[in-house]
Amino acid sequence: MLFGYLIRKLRFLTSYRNIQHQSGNSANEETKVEKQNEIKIQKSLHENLKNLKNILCDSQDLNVHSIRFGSESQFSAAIVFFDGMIDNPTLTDGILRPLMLWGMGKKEDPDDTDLLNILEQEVVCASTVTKEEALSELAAGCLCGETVLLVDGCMGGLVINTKGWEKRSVTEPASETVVRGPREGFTENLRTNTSLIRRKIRNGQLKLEQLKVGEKTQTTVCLMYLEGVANPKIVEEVQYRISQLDVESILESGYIEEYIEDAPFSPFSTVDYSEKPDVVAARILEGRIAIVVDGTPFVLTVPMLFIESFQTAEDYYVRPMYASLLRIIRFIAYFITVFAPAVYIALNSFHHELIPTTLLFTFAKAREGTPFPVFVEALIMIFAFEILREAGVRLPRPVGQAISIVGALIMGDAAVSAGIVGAPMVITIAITAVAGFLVPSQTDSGSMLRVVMMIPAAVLGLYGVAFGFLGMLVHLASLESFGVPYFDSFSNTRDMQDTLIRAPLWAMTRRPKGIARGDMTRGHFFIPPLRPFASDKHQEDDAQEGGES
Amino acid sequence: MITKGKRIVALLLIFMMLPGLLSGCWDSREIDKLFIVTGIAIDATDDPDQVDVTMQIGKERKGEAGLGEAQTGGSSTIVLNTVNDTIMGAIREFNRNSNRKLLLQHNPIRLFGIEVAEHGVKKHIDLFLRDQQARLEVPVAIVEGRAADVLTGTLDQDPLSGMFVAGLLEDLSKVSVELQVRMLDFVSRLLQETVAPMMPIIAVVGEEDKKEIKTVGMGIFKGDKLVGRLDNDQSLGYIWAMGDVSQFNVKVQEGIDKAILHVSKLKTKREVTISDDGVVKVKLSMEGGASIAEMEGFGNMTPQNLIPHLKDLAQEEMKQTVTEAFQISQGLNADMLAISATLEQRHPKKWEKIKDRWDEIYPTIELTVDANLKILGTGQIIQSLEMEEAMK
Amino acid sequence: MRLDKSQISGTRFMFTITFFLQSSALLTAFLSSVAQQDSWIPVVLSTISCMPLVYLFRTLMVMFPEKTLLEMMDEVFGPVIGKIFGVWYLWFFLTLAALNLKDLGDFAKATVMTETPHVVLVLLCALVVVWAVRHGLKVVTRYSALFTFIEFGIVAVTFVLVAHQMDFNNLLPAFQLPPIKYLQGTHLMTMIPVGELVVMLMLTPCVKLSRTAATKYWFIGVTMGMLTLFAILVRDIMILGNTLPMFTLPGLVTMRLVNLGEALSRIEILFAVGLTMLLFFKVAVLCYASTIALAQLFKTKSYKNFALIIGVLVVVYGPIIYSSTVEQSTSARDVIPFFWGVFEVWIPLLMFIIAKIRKLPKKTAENPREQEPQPPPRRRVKEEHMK
Repeated sequence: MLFGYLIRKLRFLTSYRNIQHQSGNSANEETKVEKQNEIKIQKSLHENLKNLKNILCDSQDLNVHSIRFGSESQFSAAIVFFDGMIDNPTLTDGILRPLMLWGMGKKEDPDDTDLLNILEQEVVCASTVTKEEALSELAAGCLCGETVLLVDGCMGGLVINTKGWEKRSVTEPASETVVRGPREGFTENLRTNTSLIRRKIRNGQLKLEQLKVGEKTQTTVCLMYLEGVANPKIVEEVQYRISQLDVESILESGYIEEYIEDAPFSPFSTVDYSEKPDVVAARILEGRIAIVVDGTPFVLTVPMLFIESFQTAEDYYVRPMYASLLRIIRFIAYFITVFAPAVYIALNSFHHELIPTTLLFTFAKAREGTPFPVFVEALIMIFAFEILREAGVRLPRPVGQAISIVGALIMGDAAVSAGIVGAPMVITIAITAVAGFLVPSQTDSGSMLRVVMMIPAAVLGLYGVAFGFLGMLVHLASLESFGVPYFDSFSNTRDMQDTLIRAPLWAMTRRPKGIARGDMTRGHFFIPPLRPFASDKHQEDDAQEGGES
Repeated sequence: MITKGKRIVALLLIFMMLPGLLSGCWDSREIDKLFIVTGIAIDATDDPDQVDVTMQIGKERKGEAGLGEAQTGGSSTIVLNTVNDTIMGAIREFNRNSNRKLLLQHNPIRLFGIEVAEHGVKKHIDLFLRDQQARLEVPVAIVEGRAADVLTGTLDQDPLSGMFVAGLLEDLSKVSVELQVRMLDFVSRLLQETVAPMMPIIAVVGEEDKKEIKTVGMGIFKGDKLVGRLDNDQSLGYIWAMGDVSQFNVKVQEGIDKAILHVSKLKTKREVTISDDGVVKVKLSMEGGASIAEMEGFGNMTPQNLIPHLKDLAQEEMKQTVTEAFQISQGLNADMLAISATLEQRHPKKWEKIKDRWDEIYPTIELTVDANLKILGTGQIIQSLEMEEAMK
Repeated sequence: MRLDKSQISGTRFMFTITFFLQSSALLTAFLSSVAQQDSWIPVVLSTISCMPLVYLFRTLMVMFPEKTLLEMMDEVFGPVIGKIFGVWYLWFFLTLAALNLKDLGDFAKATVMTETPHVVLVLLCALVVVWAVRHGLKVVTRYSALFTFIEFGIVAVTFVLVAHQMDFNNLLPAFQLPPIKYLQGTHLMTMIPVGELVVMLMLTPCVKLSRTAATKYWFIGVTMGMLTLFAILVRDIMILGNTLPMFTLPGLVTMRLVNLGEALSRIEILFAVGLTMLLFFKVAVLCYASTIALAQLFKTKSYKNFALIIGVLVVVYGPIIYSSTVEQSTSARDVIPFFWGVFEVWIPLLMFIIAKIRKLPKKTAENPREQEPQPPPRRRVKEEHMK
């Protein structure tokens, strides 16, 4: 009975995934039904305006401006827009002015359908003009910051692109800073982001597909990938997963990530994100798919491999040997951040012979005054550190200095002097914490895993750590990201060029095998320089000047 | 409202956390509940069945950075002593009578009193081989007198005398591996009955407050009983014969003239021949490079004459010492140079025949020693102040 | 019908064979008690004598590319006898898995965890093993290449660290024991580490190899594994010399002797942990084979549910096989080589002969690749060749 509840829950969760694949198509039908029940557009301007205002709930920032145009002001129309979301110059110069200054070329009045066509194609001066015949589309256009032009007597309206609102400018991303490399970061505006990526890859193969997700937020989501390089099966899978989403809101790419990821119960994320266009461009070039979400500067890339957490953009801009050294340090740092507290607990409680004798005396002296077992000490320190970290993100800037001093003092000296924790424990946790920041995208998984590892370490010492490690390996081995095995680069000997070391760029001539299909070569192999500066040229110079000085 | 399901899950979680929190795990030991053993001494008692076990527990190392507290006096060791049937019994007694458990893994030295060595050490070694906490690379030594004296005395150099002795032997091992006898080496020789195990002998000298611990030679065992010894000079002969010695001095003396040659490396080759009727001959050839370390006298020689002269003297000296040491071992009928092992390895068939008569054959073995020293340098100066000018 | 739809490459298979053999690194005590200081000679001899056996395994694998060992027996011996042999082999795999798991527990208990109950150590390992088996063969063997190299690394590092304590003379005198001892040693080495490779025949459907490729991978894998064992034995002999037969775990004793200054001494636990992880993989492969065998005997569609059952069985079965370690090592030395010869040599040989007589596999029934039912289109991305 005790386990019956748990077993039933687990069984439900594992079998649920199979059920929902089969019933995925039912969502589409509902929306079609809805569309058929909506209000139709009519010829009367007054009616249309009334219906439009109803759909938009008569908000106070909805502006309706009635105008009359035509050579004899015979046509009446209205422009509808949301104040604050449009670009006023475009509205006046692109729409109102040409409209109101329009003189008829032909003598007859054009009839209704023709009128809209003429307006769309000959009169309105804007970058995008679309003719829509459904009120919901017109309303959606308003909500996006476009202006709707309704003409009396026409069954339809024009949706004109006048988007303009306050945007953040392109600045250095706060979460990924580099010493060497471009300092542009994405912004919250979709078009800016896609344009940033386009500017990196100026090739016709870069394809962009747009989808709208979220019932109430109607967020635009763009997929960008290299056609002919990205695996078409993965592209199709991503399209399917996003288009089948029946959710209410998408506020950030993290929402999309949670909805489309392969392993929702794993601490490791199978979808990667980045705030820098050069990073995303590099990933697209390797055959991955970028998912740009409107309203957030974080762009997702799929599929993700474990090794990507250890690769930063800067790796590719500095020299290969140094980059390889940094890569190895990052691996060691991740290992430290997950296992250091566990190993410390194991050494202190079980394997005293591993500690050199002199150090053992120090530890013994440090442990004399402290009341808690090592495991509890470690938990306290880790908890305190997590509190500090979170506080550091949330605290208001003026108070920042004072709090950080207090934090350091409390954690450091005072805790040790008061006898709550021992000095070696403080050092261990400090290194653990700092090492966690070397691998930024795995910081959260590292924090969780280190607590999990501490439990078998406290019970079984290094054997417990070993089996915890093995368990983690087994879990990582079973993870897949959109069909690509998560640990691919370690088991596939051919792709080792970019894992533990960073091979020089002139040696990486093939794309990673698991991700891309199609064109796999990136370039030809050579060892620089292409042509050694012909030494005889120098010698001629030298000879003229009387020998090398 | 907490539903039944949630309560059960909460209980499960608590049960899982308990082992870690209460540290009720079986093997877990906090460091402050341990006694770190820094020396074990075995002595004989009046009752031959009982053994006197002394353990030195270290509390802290001298010169630690702590938190600024000065050492206010009081010793930094605890010495535990008891008499028991077996060593394991003694350990259990210590554990039972204190609030801490003994940690044997850091123990750097095992000492045997000279009486124990003379009666036989085999029965005391079993624990050190069998116990999971005991280590094989720990050196062993005999103490002149009672082994416990080494552990109870305090030294200026190191408050933990056990670690001091271990360090002493460690330094000696850099001269020659044979000077530091590890448990493994001792047992290896013991298993082979015809080879004589050896152990260094140390002694405690000095007054109560100013004690010093020194090495006074090597002890020769036959089987597991101590039968004889070599003093420090004769031990030199022993290690030269075994070979692979580095950084030692040879003293030569001619009348009042003395010279010390510093040899950086000495290698010894041995040839063991056995004839069909069991006559064994051993030939040792030693080779090394030396330099003059210190000189006194030799005023009537030039540097050119001096070097070959010194060389002859040194070679003679070395041969003498080796032969002397070997004769002592022949007198004790203990094969300290492991000649029988070499015989078994190189001439196994002939060894089979004579192995039962080894005790009779050993005293009759002929040893020829050949030494070849090259004098490579003379230090910073070429001639000493007392010598004639070479140019004159 | 294939139970486990994962596919692994030839190189991964080869590394699996290698680490299967390397896992016996710590358990060479039974060999050293027989041949003592000449233990390296039986290793060399058995490498030569096991070649025909390996060739037999490889031939069986090539003759029946889509069938596991149990299915092969069904086809060759007919349904009734095949089933009987199948049950017998299931017991064999279970015993192997249980013995190895027990060895793991004993090793951990002997080195560090003297007071922990055996069950706890073994249970933790069994849980992780069951989890891995449920995910299929590709997870179980994913790290085979990596761990093989780690094991090579451990052997090389320990070699270097104790190099100054090695004495070549400890290998002499050679060839002094009565010849029967060498024969016994060779028989032991062939049956116990190498003969267990019959388990690899349960992995056949997951590895697609041509005739030459199969030969290459089998032989290279076996050679690399035996080379490691040879290196380990030679290292132990050179260091421990005549004390070698005295110890229950000579490999561990050698590692204990690593002593390069204060910081680098007493570090044997690190090596021990590494070797434990290797033993874990061996147990995982054995449990996987048992699970597949059980699933095939009961003709079920999925083997995942049996993983936990096998895990529990193996945990419980281990401690009751022998009553003490002394009995275990005596049995390993005297009884086991002959007993397992039946499973490892005689029955496969019989299978091979009968198959040849009956001219199996029938040429008409040969299809290069079984047609699997078309999966729903959404699943296509998950199926690919695994490296």
